[in-house]
Amino acid sequence: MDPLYSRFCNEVCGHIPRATSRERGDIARELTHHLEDHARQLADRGVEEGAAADRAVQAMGDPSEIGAKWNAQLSPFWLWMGRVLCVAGMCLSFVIFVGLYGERFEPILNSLLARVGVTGPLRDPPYSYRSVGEMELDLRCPYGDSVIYLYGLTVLQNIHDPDERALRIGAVAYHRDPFRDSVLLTNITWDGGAWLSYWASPARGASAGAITIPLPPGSLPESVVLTGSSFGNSFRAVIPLDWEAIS
Amino acid sequence: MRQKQSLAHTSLLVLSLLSRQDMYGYQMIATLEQRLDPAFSMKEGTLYPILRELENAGAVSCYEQEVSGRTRKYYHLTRKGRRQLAEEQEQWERYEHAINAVLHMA
Repeated sequence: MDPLYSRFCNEVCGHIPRATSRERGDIARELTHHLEDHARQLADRGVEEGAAADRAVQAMGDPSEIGAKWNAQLSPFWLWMGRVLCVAGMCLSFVIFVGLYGERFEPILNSLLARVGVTGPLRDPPYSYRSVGEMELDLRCPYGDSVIYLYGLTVLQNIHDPDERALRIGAVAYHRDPFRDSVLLTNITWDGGAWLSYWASPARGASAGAITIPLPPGSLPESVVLTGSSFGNSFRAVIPLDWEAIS
Repeated sequence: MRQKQSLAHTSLLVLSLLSRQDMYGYQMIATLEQRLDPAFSMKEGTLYPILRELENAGAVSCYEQEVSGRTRKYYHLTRKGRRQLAEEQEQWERYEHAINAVLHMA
């Protein structure tokens, strides 16, 4: 194709953002055929080939005006759909990236948040605390017809205030009869400032989660008591803390 | 040298051309050049957005046909296009008549 023609077609298509790539190809092909026909007709009348191509392009008019008029005739649907998909793709990539590598950036994020004055108490505890120790538990506590099994704990420390600590206790509730559904951890009201920080509440079967208990500042208690209740049932567990084993 | 006048009512001319036979873009331009007064000019590239507009309105349809080894895009006047042509032609004649009535006032 004559470079004059391709430059002209590219300029026209550059002003038709609403066209799909296939439509742009069709437009460029139709314009090129037009230019070739015109140049051939001029050449038949004795005009030199280069001059004929030049005159054919001149006769077409301003490529930006043609492109703008053409663009006005096309639906903006695909243009906006493309933009929406692009933004959605970027958001999805970001979410996946944060999901995969978010923890690596947590110190940087916390540092930035601390600089603008956002510190621990204003933020969701699991994300502003870090783990400083773990301990296995093996406590089965009756709760109505269910059993709440406490299988381990993690000591969390506020990254901005080392004296502020909490215990995160892994728990599973199951029914004594394996064919029946257990109480849901989300239905239990926890006492003493404890809260359910993670949970999985399946439609049937056992219920799993993590219960977070704040520790008094600066203290290393020998044990903590976790209590909760719902629907007339109550729960009480004394959790021994072996700080040497934990640290 | 006299300034060439730009060509208005291009869609009427395009519909009129297509009422005789199916044509491709350059064929329309070449036919218009033969028939029109040289004082009128048309930027050839502007024909295509007009054809697209007529196509969107359902006045013309297009199809591809291979002629002498080249695929050409032909435009065809639809039934709706014929009605549009009749309406635009009538409007034009009324307009022309009104202008003439003023110009030839005694």
